[in-house]
Amino acid sequence: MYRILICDDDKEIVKAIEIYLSREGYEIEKAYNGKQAMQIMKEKEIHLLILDIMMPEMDGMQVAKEVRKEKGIPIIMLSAKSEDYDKIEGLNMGADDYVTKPFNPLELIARVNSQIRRYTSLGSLNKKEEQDDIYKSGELVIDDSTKQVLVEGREVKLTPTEYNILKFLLKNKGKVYSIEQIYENVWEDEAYGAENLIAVHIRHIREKIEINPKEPKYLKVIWGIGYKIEKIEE
Amino acid sequence: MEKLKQFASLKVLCYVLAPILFLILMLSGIYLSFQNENTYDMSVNDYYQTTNFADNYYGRIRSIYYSISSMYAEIPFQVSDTSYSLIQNGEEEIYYQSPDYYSGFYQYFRFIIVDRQSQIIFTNIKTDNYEQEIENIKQGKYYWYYETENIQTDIEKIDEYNIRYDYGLVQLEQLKQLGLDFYIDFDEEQVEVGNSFYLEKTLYDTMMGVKEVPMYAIPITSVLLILIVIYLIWSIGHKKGVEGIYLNSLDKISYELVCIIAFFLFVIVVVVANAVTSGSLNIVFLSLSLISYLVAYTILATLATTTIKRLKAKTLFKELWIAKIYRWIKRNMENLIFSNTSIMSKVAIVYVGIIFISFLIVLFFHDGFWIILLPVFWGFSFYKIAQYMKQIKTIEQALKDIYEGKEEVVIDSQNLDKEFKQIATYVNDIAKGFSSAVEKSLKSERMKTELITNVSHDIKTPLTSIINYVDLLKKEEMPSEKAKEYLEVLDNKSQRLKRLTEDLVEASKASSGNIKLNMEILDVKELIKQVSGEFEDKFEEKHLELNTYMPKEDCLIKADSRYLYRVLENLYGNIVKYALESSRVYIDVFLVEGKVQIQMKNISKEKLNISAEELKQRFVRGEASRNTEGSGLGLSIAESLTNLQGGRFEIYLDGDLFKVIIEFERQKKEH
Repeated sequence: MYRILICDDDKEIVKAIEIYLSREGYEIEKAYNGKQAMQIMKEKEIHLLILDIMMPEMDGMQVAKEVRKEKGIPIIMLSAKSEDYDKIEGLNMGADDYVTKPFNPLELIARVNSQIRRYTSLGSLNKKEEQDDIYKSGELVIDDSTKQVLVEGREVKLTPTEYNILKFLLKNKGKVYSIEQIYENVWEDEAYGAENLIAVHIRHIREKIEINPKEPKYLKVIWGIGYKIEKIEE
Repeated sequence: MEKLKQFASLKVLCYVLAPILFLILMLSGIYLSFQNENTYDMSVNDYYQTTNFADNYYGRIRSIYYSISSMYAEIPFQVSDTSYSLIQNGEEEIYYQSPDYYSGFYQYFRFIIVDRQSQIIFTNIKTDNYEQEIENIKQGKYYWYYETENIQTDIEKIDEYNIRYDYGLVQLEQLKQLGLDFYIDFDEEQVEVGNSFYLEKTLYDTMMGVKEVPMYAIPITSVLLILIVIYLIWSIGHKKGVEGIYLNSLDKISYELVCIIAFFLFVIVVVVANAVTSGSLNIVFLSLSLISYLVAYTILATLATTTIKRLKAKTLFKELWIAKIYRWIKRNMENLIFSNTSIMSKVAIVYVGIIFISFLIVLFFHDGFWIILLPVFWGFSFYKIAQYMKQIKTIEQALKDIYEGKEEVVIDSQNLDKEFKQIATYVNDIAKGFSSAVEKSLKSERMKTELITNVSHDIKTPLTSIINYVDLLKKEEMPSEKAKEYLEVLDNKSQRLKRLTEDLVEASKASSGNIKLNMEILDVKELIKQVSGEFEDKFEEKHLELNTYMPKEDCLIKADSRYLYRVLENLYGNIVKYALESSRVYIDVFLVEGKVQIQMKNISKEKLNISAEELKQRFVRGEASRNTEGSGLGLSIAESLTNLQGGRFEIYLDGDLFKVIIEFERQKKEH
């Protein structure tokens, strides 16, 4: 049983998140300002922290900074500020993820699950890393021997074409490939017209492996240039 | 008045009257100058009293004398000479010459020349008694004789003539030496048509008859002529039923050609007239000169008419070959020299031209003084021009700075001339007003963006609760179907509110330029393929058939990858939202004059009762109802973002066809 601390000065939001997360089987602690949150952190063992930025007394940035001094637990920032600048600042303060208000409850749950899994099961995946047929970036893992795709521990079903594209990009993670290059490398026999479908395939892959396909974590779109798998180091 | 302009018969009358009046004026002028010439002595009122007559008379005396004296020097005379007949009359030898032997004059002169010593007589009078005849001559009306070294005459003007001209006296001296007496008489009864005395007398008498005419004719014809010319100049080119100036085919051929043809025709007429009229004054002469006069008039009148018409229609200088050639040279010179050159070098070229021309002028006039002054003039004008140019440059630079949006542009007017100081003051004032206005608008834009951002933050927090609790409610048992329906409405509207707040912030940032761009080289073809892939399922849902054309060449542009995607996302989103279901959508890439153009065309579902300009405004949507999902900010954001990235964004509406063009400068491939 993992314990999650939700900290927001808006009580209704805290309540809503509590309802969602307790359904997922998490134990919930609630705080309505930074100081309260710090207090609870001291008293109980917390596995994940959801933090609003704009709060009275002690804001989310300060809380994150303080928590990071002692603990490595995942922190998800929650804010109405949606500027890139705000996100970057939050992540720099030690947050692991950033969700903007108003958020999709399912997305928040997925992100919480992902963070908890990552936090608790680290190391178990490391064993597989040594094998030749394993390609991975962060928690996106392909086992080529079994044609298995794992994203944050969850198995994803891909069509053979989608699998080949993802494998090619993951093998060459960090590098950007244009549609034409992907086509040339993935299609061994020339199938005319298939080139135009690559963008569609990639959208499908994104929809399957990403929590929010519009803000992908792994399979990034660089508009007008190509696609790449983000190189995420552990 | 306008009607008078178009009165054709009046014009014809004027054309006919003009040469007649001119002829009258000319003749009157000639007549006046005749009157003033003293040989005609209008005051005496009788031709035989004029100097002209005396002149002619004396001329005859001399020619008779010459022919007689040259013969007399070769005595004895050749009897066989048919011109003379020897008449033996006692002691006397008489040489008789028939009056009509010579032309004209001798018919009405009777003369007797007597050598008193040898008793030889030369005469054109047949008579028995020469002494009697001599007495008759002495009694004659217009006699002249030289007898015993004395001249007697009743023609006053001849005396004056003798005194006036030396040679008259020389001949008298000869007469004296030869010992000849000379008797001559003029018989006016004998003057007949066809001889020159007749012509001169007739002329004189005619002129005397119309002595007063020029006094009236000159002013009257002059005034009439001026009136006619003014009327013709005023009315030429206007024709009944024709708007503006009527040009016939003659007025349309090259003016130079017309001038050259007219000149040659005129020369021919003058030459021919000279050749045929060099004879004596008679009816042939008169009619020929009248004809040539009329031909010359016709040529000149035609030339004048076409010139005036061309001037009125303003085609004269435009159509001139010379003008065309000049313009051609000028244009080419401008292209050659003046294009892309600074004002400095233009002035320099003109200055060099002035030096060259002034040098040529001085060379032609060979004026030593000016040659010395020339370098001084050149130097001074160069100094002055350079000074002016420097000041113009200063002001130009300042204006350029203002244009480019530099801050705090101030011209230091201390070193400027008085004329430029005023300009500098104006420019400084404009710069001041301009920068403060820019500052103000920037500040207000910033404040607006800030306000919108803050407000949207404040909206987002309660909105989060609304969305979350609506979602939670949906998972609860609803008491009725109606409650479920209501909940669905709440869900839709709260989602829409969410999008609206997001778009609002983005629109305000984009329109105020409050965005940091990360410009890089992008491939438009790749981008379109990517975005099309993203929207494939949404197009399919609405049964939209996507047609795409792309050129084979590279279509690279410089833009911000993410924001350009936002532009296309908005436009593709609009197509999904507003395109007629099951219609075709065209998204093409073109290369146009060094630019890459994305053209998106679709058929609108709803009637577009709106202009393209209005459609780009914030919060405006193509359809009248606001019940659909859009925020009305999509096109505004797309336009602002495109412009921010240096692209051109254009919307065209044509019936139900909705067309967007996005254009960026094409970039070279990076190596």
